[in-house]
Amino acid sequence: MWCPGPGVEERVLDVAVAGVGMTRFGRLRDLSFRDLAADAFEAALLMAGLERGDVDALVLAAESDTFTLQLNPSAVVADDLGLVGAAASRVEGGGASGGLAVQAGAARILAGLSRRVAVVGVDVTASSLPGDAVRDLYGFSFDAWAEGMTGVTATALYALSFQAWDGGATEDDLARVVLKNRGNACLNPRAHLPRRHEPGEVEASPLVASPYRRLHCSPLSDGAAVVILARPADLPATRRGAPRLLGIGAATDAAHLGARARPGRFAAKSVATRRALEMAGIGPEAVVAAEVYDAYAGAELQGVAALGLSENPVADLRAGRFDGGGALPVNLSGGLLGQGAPPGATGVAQVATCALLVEGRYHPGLQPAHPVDVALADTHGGVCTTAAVTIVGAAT
Amino acid sequence: MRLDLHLAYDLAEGWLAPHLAGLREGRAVASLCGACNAATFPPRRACVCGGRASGWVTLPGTAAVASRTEGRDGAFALLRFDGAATATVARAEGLPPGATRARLLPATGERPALLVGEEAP
Repeated sequence: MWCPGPGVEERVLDVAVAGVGMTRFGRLRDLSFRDLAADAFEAALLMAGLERGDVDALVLAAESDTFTLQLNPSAVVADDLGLVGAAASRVEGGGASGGLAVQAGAARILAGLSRRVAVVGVDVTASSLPGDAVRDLYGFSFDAWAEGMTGVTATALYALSFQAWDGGATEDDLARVVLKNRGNACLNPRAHLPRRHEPGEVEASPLVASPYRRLHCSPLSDGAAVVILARPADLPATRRGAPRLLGIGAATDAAHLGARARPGRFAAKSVATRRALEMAGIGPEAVVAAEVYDAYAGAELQGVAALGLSENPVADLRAGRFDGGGALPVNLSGGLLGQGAPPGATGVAQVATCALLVEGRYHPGLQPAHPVDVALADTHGGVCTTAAVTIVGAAT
Repeated sequence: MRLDLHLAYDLAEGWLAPHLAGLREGRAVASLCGACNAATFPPRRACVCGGRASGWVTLPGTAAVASRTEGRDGAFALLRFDGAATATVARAEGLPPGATRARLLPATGERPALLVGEEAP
């Protein structure tokens, strides 16, 4: 059990998501990563009701300098955003970068180091390099000295992990996940891949790494997302009721897929979730919407299982429980499959989505009919080598 | 704006040098745990038992195939080398579909890659 020290639980509950901003995700050839970060930041600042001088720290999530070709990007982004003088740092954890950055921003507030933190997630994986080059670079996201030297791709590693999963998913189930998420994306004006695939289209797409076909894979995307965190007392009166971070948890697993006792299980995600739920003082049944890291269709099902949100994810998928109108909608944004996947921005966008859902102001057609008191944002890097889970809830 | 950048890395092999040298010659050199004596392949400094690697051992180089994936990205397998306590991912272009056994092949090219082929070609 996680044992809070004196007052710790109260402090965690006291961090608000004051403002959120997000650019469109996609192949945005005319916008630099600096443009994207600035656009998302301005929107978040406006929502928070703050001036830029109120922000005293920047935490930047950007997966790799090989995409932006900008070393020390946090200082450059701080300059662009008019935050010179603020503390600025960069957080990196592969696909979990954004989730970890939100947690690092919350930690700064909890530690009393900052009062208002802008967490900026941004990446440009679609337009800065050829797709094959990005695929090769992603192959070094695992153990570069072992798997990386074989030339293995992320898709192949995810495929081997999915094959080892004992959840009983079929090719039809993989297609269901794709249709669900890209269907949700049709109602998300910022999504990279809003699609209503024809029957059989997913199964007919080219084989990348069995069982994964092209349409089972999330795209390479450009985009940015920002959340501004602060204690309610440090916010304008209009935003003191903003959604709260209820719990944060992170964990790691063995870097080598083969070194894990059960390569199909996302064990780090389970540990991170337990930590986040214990901090929030709730069980998984309290979660009524989730943004789950669906880099590949099967990874969503593996993720839902590891998060403890379903005892039988495949049966619940088939029953429609994870649909937009279901009891536990998963990836209303479209997820990585539909909304897109700029790695640094992904986890920040997930938390932003959860905050908007809790406030009841998400996109028309996607906001659930039932109140979203608690939502969960789930990211990971590698094949769930690094996991970060964040729980967002209503202020009361 | 367009920028062509070519980077030629010369990475120190460090502690992994005996293992990587083995891969170039087709020998499966695993780390040996000083606490439980388990062989780990590919090597890890920290054993699953919590002990630390204290030496090296050369395994037979044969392996049991657990699963395999193939497609546009190539062919790769998850397999466990005989004598190893952990499994590994290897490039498996030379492994026939349905094969349940494999053997380590000498790495070709500049990269010290884990390659496997038929156990008894």
